[in-house]
Amino acid sequence: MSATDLENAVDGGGADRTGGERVGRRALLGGLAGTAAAAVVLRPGLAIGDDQEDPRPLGTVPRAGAGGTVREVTLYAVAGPGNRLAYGTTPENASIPGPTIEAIEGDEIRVTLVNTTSLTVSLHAHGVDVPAADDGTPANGSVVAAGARHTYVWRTHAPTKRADGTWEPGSAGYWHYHDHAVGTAHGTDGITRGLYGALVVRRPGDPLPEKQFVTVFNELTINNSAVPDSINYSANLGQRVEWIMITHGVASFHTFHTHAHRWADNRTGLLSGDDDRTSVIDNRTTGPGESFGFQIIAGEHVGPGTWMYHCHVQFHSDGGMIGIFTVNNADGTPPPGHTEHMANHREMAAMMMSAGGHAAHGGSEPAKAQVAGSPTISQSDVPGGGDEDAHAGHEGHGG
Amino acid sequence: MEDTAVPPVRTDRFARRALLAGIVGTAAAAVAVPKVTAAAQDVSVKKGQAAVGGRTLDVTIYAVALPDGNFAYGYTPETASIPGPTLEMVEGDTLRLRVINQTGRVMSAHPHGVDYDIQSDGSLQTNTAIPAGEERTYIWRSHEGGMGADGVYTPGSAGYWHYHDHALNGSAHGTEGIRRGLYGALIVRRAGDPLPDVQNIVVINDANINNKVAPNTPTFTARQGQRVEWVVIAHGNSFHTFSLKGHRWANNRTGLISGPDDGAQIVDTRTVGPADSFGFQVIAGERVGPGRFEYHTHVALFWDRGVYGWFDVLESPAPVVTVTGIADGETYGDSLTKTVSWTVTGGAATGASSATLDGQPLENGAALRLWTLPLGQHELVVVGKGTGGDTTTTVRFTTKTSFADLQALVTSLPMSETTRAGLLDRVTRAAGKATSGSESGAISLLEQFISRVENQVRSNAEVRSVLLRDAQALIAELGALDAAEGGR
Repeated sequence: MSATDLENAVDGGGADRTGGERVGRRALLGGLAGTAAAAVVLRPGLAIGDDQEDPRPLGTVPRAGAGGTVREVTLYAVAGPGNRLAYGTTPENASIPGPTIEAIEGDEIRVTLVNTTSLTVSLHAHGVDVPAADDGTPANGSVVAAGARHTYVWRTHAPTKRADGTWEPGSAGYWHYHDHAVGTAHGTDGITRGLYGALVVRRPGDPLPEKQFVTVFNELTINNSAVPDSINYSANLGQRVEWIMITHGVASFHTFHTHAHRWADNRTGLLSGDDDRTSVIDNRTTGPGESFGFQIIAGEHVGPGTWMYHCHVQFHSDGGMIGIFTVNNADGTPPPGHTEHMANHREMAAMMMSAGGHAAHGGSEPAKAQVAGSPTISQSDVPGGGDEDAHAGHEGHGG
Repeated sequence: MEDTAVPPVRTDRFARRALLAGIVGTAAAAVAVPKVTAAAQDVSVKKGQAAVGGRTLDVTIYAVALPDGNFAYGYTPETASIPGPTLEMVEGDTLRLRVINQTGRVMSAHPHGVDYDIQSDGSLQTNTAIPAGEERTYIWRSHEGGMGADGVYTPGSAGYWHYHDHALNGSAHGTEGIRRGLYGALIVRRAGDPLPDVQNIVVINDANINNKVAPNTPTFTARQGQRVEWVVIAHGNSFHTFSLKGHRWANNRTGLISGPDDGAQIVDTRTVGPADSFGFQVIAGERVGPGRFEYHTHVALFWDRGVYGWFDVLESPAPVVTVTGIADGETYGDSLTKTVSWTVTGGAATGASSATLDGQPLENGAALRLWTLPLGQHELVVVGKGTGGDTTTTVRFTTKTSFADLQALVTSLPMSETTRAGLLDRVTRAAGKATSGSESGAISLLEQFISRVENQVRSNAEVRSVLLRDAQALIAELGALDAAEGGR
């Protein structure tokens, strides 16, 4: 499958059924750092499982189909201005975070990493079945030299009962991938500079979202960005939103908090029913290398609004780890007070930055990097992704 | 904050909860009685469980500046505490929280977990903070879980949540307000959730607990066997591991498991970061007995600097069971009816009890017709429940019959009057013979008695069998007496 095929697959995948928000608006906006969300390069079948019966009541939500497909992906590692590095399905559309890769349990993902940088880079996946030769680490030689390429094979499997009667868990999860070679043997510089992305493995029957947000707390940034260039998302009231949350960094732990939306603390963020005792939360501790995800209905039980999401570590949120999740009215028009609330948000963001922002916490490398962000890398109005930032938000809903 | 008083044993938790409309104070917080504006409760829930939601709860709290530079929420300005009042809802309830800002600065209340529209966000960005000297009513709603039309289950609001300032002094995230004490616990229960006897709120706020450092942190107390609810919240910038000695819980919504197949991890330590919250219930001293147990962050850096406190589990005296109506070692004629009752008293009694008579359940206060029991030895076992252990009292007694008992039974049991007259004649005359020393005469009359019972007492099998049983018992007794005397 070529990159062009992938793009077509994206367009045909229907990840964003709202339409009308896919224009590459962000490409026009220079100097932005991260992206609201990354391209969905693989959208497994929307049909309810073709090959197997699912005893659960299915309702009307689209669900993941059966696994077993070999999915070929090409990722380009790209160096941009400002010391930034990113993955893209083409050299031109590289983004931070990189493209979201999706699969269904039973699928095999073959990712060919094309290294266009002058550094040795790699691709290391969490959660999936990876032979040592594709581990993506210098230790076993599975890194990619400047100008070279390597095809990483990631396999996935369904839950299986072992011969001894115990169960082997399936691969399904909100996972992620990242560089494991730049700077140190652990890819510390590569991650700091933007080489990371989301990897979603679904179980057949899992509900599929209408919109998908990828939020990466990378040390003291979100997606290598910070206020005033906050990573903002939007969805219409009632849309099923999938939020994938990944943490990276050299030392920091975080608590990811959403206003007015909550989820179950498990694989899917969903409860199985009345008897499911899993904690429901709106705040979760997360540290480097962790990831989780959940689905919410935008504005469910709370209505439209200009809702904050942020790290709840106080000095992190005060330092700029904050963004806006706008829940539009069901017809896509902005929620009441949106213009004023966004203006307030920007005003307070400016106050934070004038008070020091992240510089107050040591002027970390990511903070420097985001100042000189690359338009080449900051591509991306993408299907299924969040679509706006602090600057573009009003334009997107201005009508 | 110090609470060394022994908490009361709550014998009627449901009634108490209903009275308080779901809002209870904690060891650290004031108790107030908010106005309930909605209709009465569904009383089908069991004692000790959360009622069904659906109420509208109007609660007023004040935000005040404390003399020590901290800030606090309270039901009144005078009772403001850190943490603030513990607010409780049941899924389906709406809490209308009127916040009166007496801090002299802008501040707010922002909840976690519950449903609120943007007008109740409590943030500066949405213009929903409260200027100095003003007030605002925040509306927090909650809902039950349920299957959506799209086939995906929507979780209910139940959880151990919290609320906090999001605006003090213009801080976009309430950093100063939280640091200086503007926080509290918010519990949303599911109808049927067990209610605790004692509630402990622990907020690890960076390098302190409830804005106190040991030895000034709260000392919580409970009697052994009491159901103790812990709500743990973290705030600030630091990550902690909350740890409780001697007790453990399930890492899920309630801290309780549903049964042996519940795969929830059992823990006694849990990582919490800023704004994380969880809660659980334990039985004080369960399997470990009374004693002083530490609760603390397990992050040594903070632990060593005073982020710990004590949980005192007090020894629980065994309850005293007093049985009336039947006495141990006594013998009773089987024509008697005894009202058997018992009381369970003592500081550790929960009020619950159970009893069996010869292995069969017996109600407290039951009128026991002794003729319905077999003749002979009986065993009444009464178990009085105590928080630190149960007290079991056994009463052994004997029932026997006699001519007088048989006469009384013939007189009182249902039968035709003709039959009754004939039977009374035979048993009375038999008694006379026995009194005069003629066992054989008495036996002969009792045999006539038996014959009459067999022929005439036909409609009531129970009466028939007890009369036959008692007459045969008397015959056996007379026969044994006759044999002992060598026959006359």
